[in-house]
Amino acid sequence: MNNKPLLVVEQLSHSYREGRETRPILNGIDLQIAEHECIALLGRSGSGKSTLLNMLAGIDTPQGGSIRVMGQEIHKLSERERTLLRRRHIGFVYQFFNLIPTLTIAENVGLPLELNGYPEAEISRLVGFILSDVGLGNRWAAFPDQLSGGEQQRVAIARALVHNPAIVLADEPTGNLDEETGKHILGMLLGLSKQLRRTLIIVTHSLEVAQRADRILTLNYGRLSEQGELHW
Amino acid sequence: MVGGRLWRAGYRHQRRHAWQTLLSVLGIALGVAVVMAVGLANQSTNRAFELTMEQISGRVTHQVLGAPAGLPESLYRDLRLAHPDLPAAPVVEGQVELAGEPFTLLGVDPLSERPFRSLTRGRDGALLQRLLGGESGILISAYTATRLQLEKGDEISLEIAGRQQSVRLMGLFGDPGAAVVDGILVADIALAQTLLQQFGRLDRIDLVLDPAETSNLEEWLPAGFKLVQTRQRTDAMANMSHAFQTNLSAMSLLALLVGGFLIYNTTTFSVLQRRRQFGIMRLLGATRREVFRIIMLEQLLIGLVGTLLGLGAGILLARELLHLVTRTINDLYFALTVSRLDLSAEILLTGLLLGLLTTALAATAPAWEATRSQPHTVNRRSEIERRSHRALPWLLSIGLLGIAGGWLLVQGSERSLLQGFAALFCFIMGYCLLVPTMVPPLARLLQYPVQGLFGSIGRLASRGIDATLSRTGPAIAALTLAIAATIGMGIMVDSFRGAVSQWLSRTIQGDIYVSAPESASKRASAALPEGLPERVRQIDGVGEISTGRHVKVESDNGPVDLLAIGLASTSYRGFDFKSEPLPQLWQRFAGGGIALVSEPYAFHHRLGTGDTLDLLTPDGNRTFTIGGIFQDYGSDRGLIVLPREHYQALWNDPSVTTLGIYLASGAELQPVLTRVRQATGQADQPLRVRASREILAHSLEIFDRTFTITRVLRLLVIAVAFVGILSAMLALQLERAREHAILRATGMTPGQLLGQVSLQTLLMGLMAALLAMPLGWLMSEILIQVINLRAFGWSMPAQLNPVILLEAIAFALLAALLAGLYPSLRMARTAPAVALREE
Ligand SMILES: Nc1ncnc2c1ncn2[C@@H]1O[C@H](COP(=O)(O)OP(=O)(O)O)[C@@H](O)[C@H]1O
Ligand SMILES: [Mg+2]
Repeated sequence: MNNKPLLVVEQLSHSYREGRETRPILNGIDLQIAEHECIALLGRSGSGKSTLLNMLAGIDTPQGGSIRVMGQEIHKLSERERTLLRRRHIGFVYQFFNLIPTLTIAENVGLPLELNGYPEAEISRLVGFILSDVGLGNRWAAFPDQLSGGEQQRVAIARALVHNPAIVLADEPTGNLDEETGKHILGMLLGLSKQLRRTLIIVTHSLEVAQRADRILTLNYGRLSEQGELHW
Repeated sequence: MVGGRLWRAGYRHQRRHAWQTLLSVLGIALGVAVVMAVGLANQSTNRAFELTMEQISGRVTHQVLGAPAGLPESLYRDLRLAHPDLPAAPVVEGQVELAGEPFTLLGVDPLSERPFRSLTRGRDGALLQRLLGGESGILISAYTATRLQLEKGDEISLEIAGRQQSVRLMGLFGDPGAAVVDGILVADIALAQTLLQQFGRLDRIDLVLDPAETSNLEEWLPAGFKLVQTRQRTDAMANMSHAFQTNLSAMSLLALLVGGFLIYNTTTFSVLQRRRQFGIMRLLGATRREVFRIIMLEQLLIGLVGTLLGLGAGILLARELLHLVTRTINDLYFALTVSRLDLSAEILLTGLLLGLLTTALAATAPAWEATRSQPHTVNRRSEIERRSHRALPWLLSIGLLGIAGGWLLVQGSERSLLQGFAALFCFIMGYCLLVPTMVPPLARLLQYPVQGLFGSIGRLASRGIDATLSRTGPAIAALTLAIAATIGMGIMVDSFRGAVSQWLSRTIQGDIYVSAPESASKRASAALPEGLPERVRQIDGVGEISTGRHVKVESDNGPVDLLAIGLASTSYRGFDFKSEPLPQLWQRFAGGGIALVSEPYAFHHRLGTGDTLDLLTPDGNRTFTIGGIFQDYGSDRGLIVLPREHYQALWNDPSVTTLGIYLASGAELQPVLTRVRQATGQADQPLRVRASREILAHSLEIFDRTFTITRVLRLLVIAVAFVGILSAMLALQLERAREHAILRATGMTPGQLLGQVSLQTLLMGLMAALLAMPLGWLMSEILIQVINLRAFGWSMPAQLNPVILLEAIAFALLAALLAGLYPSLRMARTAPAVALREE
């Protein structure tokens, strides 16, 4: 395994204001992630996992510390440059509200490709491939509300991977699903990103999934610990 | 490049919310239609005026004018002898009716016409020959002939000063395809004099004059005549109706403003509805600029469709408005026939730009807001609401600044009409920004009574308004503006009518009035038969009489209406002075040298009590001191009043135009009326004898007629507002489909839901109506105290008719109720699961 760090986080800290009080969420996080690594991020609900992931994706800016993605200091980039970086190199799967309801499955999956300027022919080819990879090859014309929750999440995974991003961020992608479906989806996500050699950071509550990751990190009281105790 | 998928998402969103999109389109279409229609009507009248003037004036540079009685033909002869090389043409001009339309009858001398006008040349080369050969008849433009289906050789019937006269249509002038000339009849000067019954008199002498020669000619002219520049004259005439037209344009812009608010509101909704989507797009790497652009393009497309529809509807509407505008101009200013819409590329382009610009302005803020959608906050509704509550102090300050700016604008100038309109705009925008800040306290205030009346459903309904301020704020602001506009215009028209009606009953002091029918002359009203006042005075039951002579005289400031009055003992009460008149006014007035001027005249020419003004009499200029400035709504150009004995002596004109009869004490109206009718019926011309009641009613009828256009505009603004309310409420409630589904799922019956939704929309309608009242009142104050004064020179007290306020409340509630109905019915029909499932 190549050990060049793809993602470097140093002394990251962040707190939210709630009325007059400030509540620290992240408190001096250090983290290095190498290419093709698969990380499981654990932590109690409300511990700041989503906050951390949003910062890595450049959609939220930390109050302290720095994040380097593929050699670029995120906080030194303009909003536009951050967006372009995300568009090119990051795939994202959310717990819910992933898909655009007015676009078909194929259109949803094709969106990142289009934003990256792929020609239409290439888009339909890639979308076709990835949709059959997630087992939805025959549902491309459906709209999201015609799919089950599990199927929707598979579409989201396809969309997160379709443009070959270096990093895939998944924030509790199965939190909304029943256990059986969840397991299936997670297996698919892990398998696909391994197969496609993507770097994956997945927030999960499932130990079983965590065990299949290269590393397990736990977020606890604003700090990150490797292989730490799980408190939930 | 903005991609096809973002487009498709937007397009499908609009299709799924077709109602909302449709109302958006309708709002902008109505706004543009109103602006277009008014613009087209104004432009068409102006164009018709220009064309008519061009035909009548031709290459004339100067005119010789005289006293109301006109110029003696001898003056023309003398001029010809003294200046044989000077191109000069005698003209007789009068007002006649053909087929119920006003026409200008132009009497010309075919021999001297050549350097001036092309009227007698026409297509018919032999026309001049035939005129010279003594053939008699009138000419009409080829365009008018086609329009009225007249042919050469037809006998046509003209109505002149109340009498029907038959003349032969001798020929046509002008090309049917050339610039449209309408509303002009041409005759040989002798025929015109016969028709108009002004033998031996001319109305003016037209000249083509080198500027160097003017002083020469002025010296030559005998006293009592005046040399004026034609250009100045036509400009002054065109100016007469400009204030009226500017007001129409401003009111039409109000409709567009309401339409713009509508777009703003629906765009805000459609963006808020899609916050999540935009969040996802941003997450996937769509830049802010891309998101902004896609929304702007989408809204501009909607705006474009609306604008194009509006242009079409505007043209249709313009045909109707043109009729109203022309009628008002004919009633108030001058005779003009406008039979054709003047559709130019410029005005269409202006309409297009206005529509798109309004859309762009209205969509910018919501589109910008959309670029700030962040995926990690999309499901935090409280975050949006927190942010909108945090914006309140800003809105408050900017709103107050706007109002302060409006106030400064009003104070900054006493006369600028444009500044008046700018101030109005500032007040409106400022107030609309304040509206969202007033919603939370108002909601709290209403919560208790509503809860008391409707229980928990009531509480839910009122709490929901404050809790979703980001949506309800703009919606209520839009409603407020719409309702306020109707209130403001309503109060204005009402106050105007009230003031006119009061003024009329004060001015019309006599019991019976006798007058000649409409005059054919543009300079003097038709005179009553000689000796009539004396005969009437003998009639049993007649106490006193007052006499009036209405003419147009020349002043330093151009032509002005003059009323010479012989007052009855109580006539003085008819004058209401706007400021303290000179001491012992009536004594001095009777003594001569004193003129009373009307408020608009004093305003337009910046005159005050004690100032002087010059009037042209047959013996040359005479200076008068202004004894007082009185209220008068008869003309927005102004009126000068002199005592009749002095007028008669100075202008050598013993004629009387109107006779006011005051009943002797104890006399009954009806028998006296009958006796007066008998006495006047013997005259050889038909006279009008009317009780003061009839005159009052007739005058108010004319007033109402001239204000029809304003009323129509108000109705159009109401229509736009209605669409606005409907769409705002509809969007709001449809957006809550999910929330409603949850309520249904937790056990609320469809009936209860219907109740809750209706209650909420009603509450919002009520809030808007309440908030609209101060704004409506403010708008009417500005319309009355600033706009009307600056445009017309009329001041008047504001009159608040409660009916207008009740109307506004009823209108707001009705619209709100209607808007609440559809979403709740739809919700009641859908299974909650389906709604929950929809994003
Ligand atoms: N925009 C925000 N404003 C205020 N508090 C926030 C905001 N976003 C997150 N929080 C708070 O920060 C904490 C961490 O949130 P999050 O990162 O979503 O936790 P996790 O994903 O681990 O469950 C939570 O207590 C949450 O309420
Ligand atoms: Mg989370």
